[in-house]
Amino acid sequence: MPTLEAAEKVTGATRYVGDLLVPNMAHAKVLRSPLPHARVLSIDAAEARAAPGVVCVLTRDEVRAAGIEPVYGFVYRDAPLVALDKVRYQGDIVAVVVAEDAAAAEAAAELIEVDYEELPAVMDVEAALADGAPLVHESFSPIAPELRPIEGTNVCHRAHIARGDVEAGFREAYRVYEDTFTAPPVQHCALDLHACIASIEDGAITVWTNCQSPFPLQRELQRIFKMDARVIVPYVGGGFGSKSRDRLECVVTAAAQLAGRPVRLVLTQEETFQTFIRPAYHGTIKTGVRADGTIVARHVRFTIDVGGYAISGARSANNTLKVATGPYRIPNVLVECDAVYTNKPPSAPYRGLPTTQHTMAYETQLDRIARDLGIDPVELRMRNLVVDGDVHITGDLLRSTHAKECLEAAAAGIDWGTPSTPPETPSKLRGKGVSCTIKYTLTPPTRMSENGAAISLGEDGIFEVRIGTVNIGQGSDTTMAQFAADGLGVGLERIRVVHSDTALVPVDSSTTASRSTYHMGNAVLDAASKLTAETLAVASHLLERDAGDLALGPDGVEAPDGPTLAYDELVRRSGGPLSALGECVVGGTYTAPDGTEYPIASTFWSFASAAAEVEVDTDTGEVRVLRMGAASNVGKAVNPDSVRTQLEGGLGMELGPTLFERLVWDEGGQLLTAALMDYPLPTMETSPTYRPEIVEHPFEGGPFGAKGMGEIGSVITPAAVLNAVYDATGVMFHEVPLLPHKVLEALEAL
Amino acid sequence: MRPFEYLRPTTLAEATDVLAEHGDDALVIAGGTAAVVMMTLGVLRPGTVVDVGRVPELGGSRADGGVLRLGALTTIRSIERDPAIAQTYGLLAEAASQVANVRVRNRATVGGSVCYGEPQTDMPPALIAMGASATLVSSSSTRTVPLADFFEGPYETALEPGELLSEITVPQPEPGSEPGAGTGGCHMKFTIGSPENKPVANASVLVRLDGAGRCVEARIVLGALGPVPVVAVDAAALLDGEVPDAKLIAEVASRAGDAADPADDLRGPVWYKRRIARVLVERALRCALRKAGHEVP
Amino acid sequence: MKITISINGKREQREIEPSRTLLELVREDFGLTGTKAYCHSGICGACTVLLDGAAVSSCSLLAAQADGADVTTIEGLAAGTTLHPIQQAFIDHFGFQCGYCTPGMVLLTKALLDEVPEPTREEIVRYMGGNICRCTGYAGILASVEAAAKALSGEIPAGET
Repeated sequence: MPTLEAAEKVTGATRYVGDLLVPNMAHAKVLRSPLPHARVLSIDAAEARAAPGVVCVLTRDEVRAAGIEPVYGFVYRDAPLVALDKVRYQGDIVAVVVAEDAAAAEAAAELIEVDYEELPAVMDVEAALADGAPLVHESFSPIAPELRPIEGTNVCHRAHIARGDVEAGFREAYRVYEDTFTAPPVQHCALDLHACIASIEDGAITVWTNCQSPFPLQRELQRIFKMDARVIVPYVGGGFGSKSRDRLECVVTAAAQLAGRPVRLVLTQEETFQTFIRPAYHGTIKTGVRADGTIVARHVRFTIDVGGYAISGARSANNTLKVATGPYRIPNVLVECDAVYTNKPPSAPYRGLPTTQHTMAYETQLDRIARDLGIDPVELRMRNLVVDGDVHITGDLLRSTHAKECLEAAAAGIDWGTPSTPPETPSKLRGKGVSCTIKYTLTPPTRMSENGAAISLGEDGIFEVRIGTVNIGQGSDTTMAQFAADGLGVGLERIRVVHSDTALVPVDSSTTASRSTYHMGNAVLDAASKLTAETLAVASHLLERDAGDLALGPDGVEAPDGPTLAYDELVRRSGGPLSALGECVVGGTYTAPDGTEYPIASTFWSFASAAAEVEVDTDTGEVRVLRMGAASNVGKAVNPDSVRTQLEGGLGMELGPTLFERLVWDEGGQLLTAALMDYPLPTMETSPTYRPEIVEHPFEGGPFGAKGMGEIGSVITPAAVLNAVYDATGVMFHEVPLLPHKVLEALEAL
Repeated sequence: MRPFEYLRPTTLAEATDVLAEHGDDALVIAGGTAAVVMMTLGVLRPGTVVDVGRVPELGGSRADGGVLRLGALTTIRSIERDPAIAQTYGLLAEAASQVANVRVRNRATVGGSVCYGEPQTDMPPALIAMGASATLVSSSSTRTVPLADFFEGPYETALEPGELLSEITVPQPEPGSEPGAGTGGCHMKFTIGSPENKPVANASVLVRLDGAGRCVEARIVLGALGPVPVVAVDAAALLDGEVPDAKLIAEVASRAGDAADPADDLRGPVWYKRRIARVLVERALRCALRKAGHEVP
Repeated sequence: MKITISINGKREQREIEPSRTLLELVREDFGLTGTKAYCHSGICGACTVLLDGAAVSSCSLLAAQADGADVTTIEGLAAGTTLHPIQQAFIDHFGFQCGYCTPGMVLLTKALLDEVPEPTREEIVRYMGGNICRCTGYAGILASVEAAAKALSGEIPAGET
């Protein structure tokens, strides 16, 4: 079914943050660092302050004078509101000019004179890890307890996870393979530009933003400004991780405080590339197999380039330790990671990253193994994929896996086993490839309630569902309305959804990591169940009937033998709206039916497969993806149309970084691919046909058996394409994107 | 965008007068697709913008006396869609259809796409291959410059301060004089990703054959492979008087690749761009020959 | 300077700065925020409007250049509360998720189908190729355009796309 907001969206009526106006608001422009690494010696903003239309200029001096906390961060408190002593990447925030209109602010920003002392920059992980490398941060300030920095280096997090004895595993292996894979940074290119409006009135902050984590942002604002804060997130035009954490809201609030009036900031596309990027990945994977292809040991070492601030990059690295060995039953595994500061823009998750890169590494290597051992790639995977009851590297008991069924369904989508139709000319080659993955969701280390949902029955007889989930295009309002309607036993027309306003909805951790369907879904069902009980109790009193004889009907509470108490009447007669708060408790341990306790490193594990058929032009090196199959075990597809669209969207989006997207800096740390004209994105013309298949096996604990799937399409794409190119050409690529000149070079080296 | 004085002349004389007065500080805009973006980005900060979009003498296109006259304001889209142009000046229509995206083609003008001097765009190679000339007018003079001599560097052209491109004239390709003879043109580009992107290279090829399938005339022009469009004279000369076969086509393509003068950039290293030049010329030449009535196996 | 412009069929006069783009005029002066901004360079298509019926990027056009023209924005497509068949097709065939590119996509479809009422798949892909969508992978958009073409050419009744 279409989403509830569909008509609003096709008529242009939907308001995103950039469409909002607040009375008396002024407009901000950020002055950004031209250098990747420099000490800020002095800032002279006098001329800018005197420029026409300028309200104020926020620099480190004003931040210090305001007595607010000057540094923020979600896992590391390492990001200054504006540069304090240093700038750490080209585009780092140095000052904010507030003016009557955006053009005046932009013009005045050029009048600020900043004196920099240039410092040597570390533009990639290799440089940052070198002996004696310049330090991006001289000291560390992790606030997430699981993060382990190495003092005196640029490593802001080093960690590992293991099971079995990996060295012993390699010793017993028939063959051992080692490959290194790399992927450069890309940007999410969510079309809805990062934007926010901050207002301080009567000692309280209100921020309108398109950030995907309104409640963590609210806490951060309260900590920095020591006043109450409200965060409102309207519809968001895509984020894909680029808005998973705040980057502008605190500094714009500081500007609003200084200006004494509301301030609005909307970034340009170029500035979004200086705000959050997907980090560079470098991973070495070593795999030992028996002669029959059974994997006996796997060792993965990888680095993540978190950029100048570890706002979320360090945690991304940590989270994906647990999926780096893939959806395979492997007795001996070791995964090690370093998250490393560099002088690039801060990194952010990107639709499942770095699971995507891990999958690229282990799946591409698996096809090399398949070819070496003479085993069909699908068959080799079938021999190794996990099944229900297997224990994962984390110690989790895997349930509702069905990874093999996903692989079969995805492979069938491109007629696996049937040779490709011959291309028009002999200079083109066609081939097919598959991939499988396992993906986690954000899960607290201890048993706790991470989010809530409220439902109230108001005097208009409508059930209002209040959720913290940000509607970023994934259709969450509709999914939650469906949960509420099903849970209450009423029609969708009785449901109204209020989303992501910290003053109106219960706490939710974030809309990230494919977590909302499961977590918020359960909270909504819990609220529905509690509200049902409360409503029946009230009706029982009003109707003088036993509550057990009553049920919620389409228009009111129904008794078996006739009278219906309309919902609006019920509320009026009961003296006011009825309301219930639901929650979803996760984490801790899972108790298996035999009584064994397993840790819950992920509330659920997602399994999916992709299959791709490609055509390689051996004259130009161009790779075209002709068609893709994909399948994911979603537990239960609450809205199958949305699931398929989400799956297709993930595949299509990731084709960009697989085929041609990448961010490039020159030796001086200047971003060369700063604008869309130099950073092509997938279009309808580069898109294949898709066969998205839904695999449904209800997941115990999921709302109606559902689990999340928002990122999985992305995760499985590069490996399937790389394997198809391998099949077509015999060349195994160890990097993305598959730029045509690199493909041609490799073909000619054969 | 920085404020500027906006002038909108309504006659050619008024336009050239305004330009004479403001000289270097004036930015001429027609469709605006490139100029407005450059001003938004702050790359261009003119004191005066002269919008020539409503100068009637610059509009309209007509074919007469064996010449196609394209008023400077002729949109790329109308070149793409005009059946008369498609029939006789097919190479132009083909190149026009490959310019950027349809939104740009609807606004961008042939005069603008030439005067902008962007090395990657599609119209200059096709126009040069067709032997087109530009008419440049100022308040005091009018002169005609072959487009092959018009481009002086990236975003640099033969336009002097105060001059305006008023018209582009394209001679009608000579029809073959013998039975079975014909003229064929083809424009191809190679982009990374979608065809709307800036290309790695593009190539326009025009050939004329006699009744025996011998090549009487050939022009090969490459785009995006140097600071200005590259006219591959030596490569084209290999075709003179020959009945092209696969071997000759490969030789021509290879020679054209040697003529290219590309730079190493985001769209690929030098060796690769030369290679793409060869591939494009080979493909475009085959396509042009096919249109001229000569299929090479 | 003073310009006269017809926006969604309504004739309007405005005093504007010459440096304003049509995008700014539409969004800020007329409050028609259905027209979106992203790349500001004529590439992504989020700011597509119809200028005298032709699809253009409103970011790469001065408002002054549109003086005297008819401009149609997404707000001008539906007839009252009745959706245009193209809009209905985008709903029925899941031609969007976040909706940010949708106004541009819908208007580009309008321009396409006005020019070529029964386009082939190839023609659709070529025409729509410039407009960027980050959510759908384009399959739903292609299906929406095909369905809209059928609805508008009377092959299937409007509302049953």
